[in-house]
Amino acid sequence: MTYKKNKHIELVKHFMDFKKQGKNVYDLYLENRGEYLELSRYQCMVNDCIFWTRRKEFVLCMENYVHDSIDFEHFEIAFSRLWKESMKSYNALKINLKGLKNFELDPKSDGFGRFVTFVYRQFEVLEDDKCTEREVKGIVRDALREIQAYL
Amino acid sequence: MKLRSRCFPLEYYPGEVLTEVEARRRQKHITCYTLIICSLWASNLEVGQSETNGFQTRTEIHRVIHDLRGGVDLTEAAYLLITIWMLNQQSVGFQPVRQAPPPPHHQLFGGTSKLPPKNDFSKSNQAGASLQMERPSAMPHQDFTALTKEEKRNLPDHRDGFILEEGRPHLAARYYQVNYKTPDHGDIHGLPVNVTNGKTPKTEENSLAFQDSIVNMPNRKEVIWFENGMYQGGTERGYDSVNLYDPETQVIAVFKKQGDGKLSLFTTTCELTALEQDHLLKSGGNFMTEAILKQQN
Repeated sequence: MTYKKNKHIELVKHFMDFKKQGKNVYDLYLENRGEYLELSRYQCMVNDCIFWTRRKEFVLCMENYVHDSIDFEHFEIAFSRLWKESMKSYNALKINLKGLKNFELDPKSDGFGRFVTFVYRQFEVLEDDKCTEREVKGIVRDALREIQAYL
Repeated sequence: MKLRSRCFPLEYYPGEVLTEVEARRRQKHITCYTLIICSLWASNLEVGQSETNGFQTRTEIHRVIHDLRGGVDLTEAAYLLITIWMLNQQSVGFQPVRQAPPPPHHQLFGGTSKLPPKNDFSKSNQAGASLQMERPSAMPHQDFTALTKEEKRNLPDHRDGFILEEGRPHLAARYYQVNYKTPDHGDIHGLPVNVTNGKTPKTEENSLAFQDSIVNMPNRKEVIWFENGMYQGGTERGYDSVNLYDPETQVIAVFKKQGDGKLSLFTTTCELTALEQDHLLKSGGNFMTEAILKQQN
């Protein structure tokens, strides 16, 4: 799917009017599925691109961990900070019409977000004792290998 | 004259015959020992009946008395006196009774202490401090040790929070589970974070503020109830849950359904990405993380 900025902005405007009626995104999904799906797809692309703009920082952090330059604790702190800052940027942008107008989406970023979020979600899996640090490191190593295509 | 002394209220070894002089000598010794033992016995009675060591000491004294009643020579008497002296000096059972502080779970359940309830985590001012759950007094030790860490964190506490809305499933945010999740998830509920590690300090105050935010989620303007939701549904880690989702902040709170179907318990809260939100809405409330979504693709 190709990103069409004007269409995305138009859908965001519609959605903001929709919200003024006291409705939310789930109501949009239930009432106008086509419009929801298109808006959701654009949102995912923007989310991916925001993660992608910080790809070098993500990769450096992952490499340092895989090569034992930093321990797990420091990796978790640094990686989580990057992830949360990226999400904050996304949340600030998703219904900001002016920001979206100035936003340039790079098609190479498509799908990048899932690799870093995949790693980030492992921290909670570990927190719940459902995996080990060694398994997390294996996941980071795999993700790092797949991410190379995005660099 | 060989006789058995009639004045002795004590028994001799069967068949033993004493002279009168010997009998009197023993009587003096035994009177002395008896006084010592009576004194020790009286002090031992001050020790609580439940103290095992005190009970063992009394058993020891019974044995001593029994020996004395059988008659002892000076060597035996010396051993006995030394034994009694050692018991008196060293035995826990002879130490002054101290009032043991009530166990933490008694304080948790509003015990008799007039002091304000303390945070039960000795290292709780530090993010990531270890959880030190105490066994509730009513729960047998075996049952407690058989619980998983998650089950222990979901034991009732007077600081638990509840969502009891009419016509909705009843939800609980148990204090210890909330406390456990505070460091890594507090920020998405507006709690402060430590600048060095990005985690919310694991204090009781922060945990209760975090819990308030979760318990008040139904009051958020756009909140969506997924009463028949799931967490990682269709995977090994999956379970049925009630999910509260705020699309404005993209924050979800997950409450795991219990076998009895009465109360669902808070397990986690997360900020969803656009892709995770999309899956949640399309699936009617199944919260799948991108980790799972990626594996499925």
